[in-house]
Amino acid sequence: MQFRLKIFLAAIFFSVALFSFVIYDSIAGNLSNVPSEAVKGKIVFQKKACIECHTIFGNGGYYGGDLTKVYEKFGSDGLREYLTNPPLLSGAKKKQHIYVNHEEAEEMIDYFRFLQSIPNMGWPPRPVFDKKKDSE
Amino acid sequence: MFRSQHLSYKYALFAYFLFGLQGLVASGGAIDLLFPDLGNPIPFVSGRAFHLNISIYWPLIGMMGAIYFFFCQEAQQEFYSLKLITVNFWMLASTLALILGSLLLGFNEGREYLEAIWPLKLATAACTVVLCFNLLTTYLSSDMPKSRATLISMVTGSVTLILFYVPNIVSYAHPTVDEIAKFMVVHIWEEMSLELIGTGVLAALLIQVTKVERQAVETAIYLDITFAILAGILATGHHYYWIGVPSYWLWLGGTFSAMQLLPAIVLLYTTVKSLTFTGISDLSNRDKITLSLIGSSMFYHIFGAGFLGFFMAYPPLNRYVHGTYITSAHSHLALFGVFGFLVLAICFHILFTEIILAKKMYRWCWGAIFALNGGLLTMGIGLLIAGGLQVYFWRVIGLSIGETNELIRPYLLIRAFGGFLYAIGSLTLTFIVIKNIWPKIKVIFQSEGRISVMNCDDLHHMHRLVGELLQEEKKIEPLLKRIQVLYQRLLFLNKKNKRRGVWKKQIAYTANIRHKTRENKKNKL
Repeated sequence: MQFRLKIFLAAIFFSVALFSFVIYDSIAGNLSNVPSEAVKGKIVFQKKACIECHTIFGNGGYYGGDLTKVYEKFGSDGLREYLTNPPLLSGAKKKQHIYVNHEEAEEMIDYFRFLQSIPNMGWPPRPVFDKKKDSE
Repeated sequence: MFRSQHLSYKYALFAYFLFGLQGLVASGGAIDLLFPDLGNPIPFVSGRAFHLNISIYWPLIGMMGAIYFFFCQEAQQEFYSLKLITVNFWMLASTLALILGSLLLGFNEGREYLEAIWPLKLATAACTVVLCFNLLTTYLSSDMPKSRATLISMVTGSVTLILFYVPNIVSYAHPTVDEIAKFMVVHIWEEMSLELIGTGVLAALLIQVTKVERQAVETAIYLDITFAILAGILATGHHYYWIGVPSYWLWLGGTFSAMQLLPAIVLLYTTVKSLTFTGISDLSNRDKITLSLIGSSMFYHIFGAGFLGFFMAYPPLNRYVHGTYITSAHSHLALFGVFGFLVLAICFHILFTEIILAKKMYRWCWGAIFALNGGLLTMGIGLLIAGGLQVYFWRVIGLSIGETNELIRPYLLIRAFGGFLYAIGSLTLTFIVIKNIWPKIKVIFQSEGRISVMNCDDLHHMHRLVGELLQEEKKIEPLLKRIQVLYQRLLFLNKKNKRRGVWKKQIAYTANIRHKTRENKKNKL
């Protein structure tokens, strides 16, 4: 076997092995169990395809803003009100945010509460000027 | 010319069709985003899912066609099963049709880029398995050196397609696991598997077009694919920074992402090196179009994917720019800029191997390439400005997302304008391709049994030269000389060949062309 082919195969082996190991390490023992209500909420979130406009952990659509820590910002009541009485979209005069019924809204709130509890190195960052206000 | 190569035409044609469709759908989406009250016939959610899925599948389909076209040429042998090439095409095409149809009807799994329902994802995985089976059996039975760089890179790229797709067939209860799995397709497929396949195909194409010596590029290809593997897989870490994984991912992702510039630079070096072997002006129009599309791909590889990606993957910066329109700019420049242009180049080369594109059409092709580049750059710049302002308003001074959206609207309008220009380019190019292929559409979809058994490479070459002869008046003499050489070779082959029955038709055909060219020469004199 040629030397360069050996190097190439070694590179594949090394990368796949290291990648598998760090993924195993990141998942096993590191992640908390998902409460069953939050799982239901996640299914609603997926069924309504929220990810096309919103981001979770910064991944998704860039139009609607990030929902990773949305629970912290609005709380249960704010979210329930928003989801069941959808307001107009920004820039729209007719088009409203998608409607979610009460039961689904409760499940989604559970999901958002769980999302907020995931330790993700404090992302999204708090606005720079807000931070200054806090320290004062 | 191998029969497997004939069978790959339909992949290239379908890739062009999807590319044209993409321009149209994406423009609709950009307008819907700006003017939500207009009442788009397709809901935004379905439209975006449609757009994202085409963006994954059309380069995949084009690359699969390219594998079928170039692998047999590099292995110097037909594929193990010709029937499977056709079967694989219809599997993939119907899977994609069902995915796009189901998305429009509102069946959405709710995971970005992986919106298709699970049976259709299973079908996609099955398509990659069929490809790998055919490829591996052919590779193992080939008489060519097993370590040939082009063969190795295409085989490895295809096998890893399956490996990283399978975890995504189902979705997981924990959102972090979902994200980990998702980027095995969104990142590793594009920046490792398709990169390996693309490098192999590109090298095969350059060896064919520029006649560069294989030995001269072999080591460079190995270097490139080794870097692509090393950097590509672990650089996935830059998507994992904020999804709830341990903090060592910041180091891992940051380091390996910085390395991702290396394969891009090696690839550029290889391409430029191979180009110096030939004068650009001697190339045919078809090769000029192919090379300019490859050149566009290289440009975005270095700037859009390489440098922009390099800065964005730096964790302290990524913390602020992540999840804004800057990411969107990067994904357009990297996904379409690099792979889109590469697939367009390869598919153009494949489609016009036997079918000759009239000279006047090339002017439109140049226009389309200009519009595509202009459109993509405008779109990229619009999105970069919009994203930069979004970071400022949203993450620095702390306005709400609604207020931010209102403030960045003008720059999204620039994006929509760029998208519009892009759509003009994509529709023009697709129209040219489909219009010129249409008269021969039956040949494109011919089943493997009906394709001639002969290796008629020279004959096709001659057919092309005669076609060019009719269009080019100045270069008529050197072309005639080349034709003469080919004739002698063909006549020699003809004497050697025992299956005279099969050759009779071709003899009549060549005699006919010879007669034509003689008359042409007479007229010229």
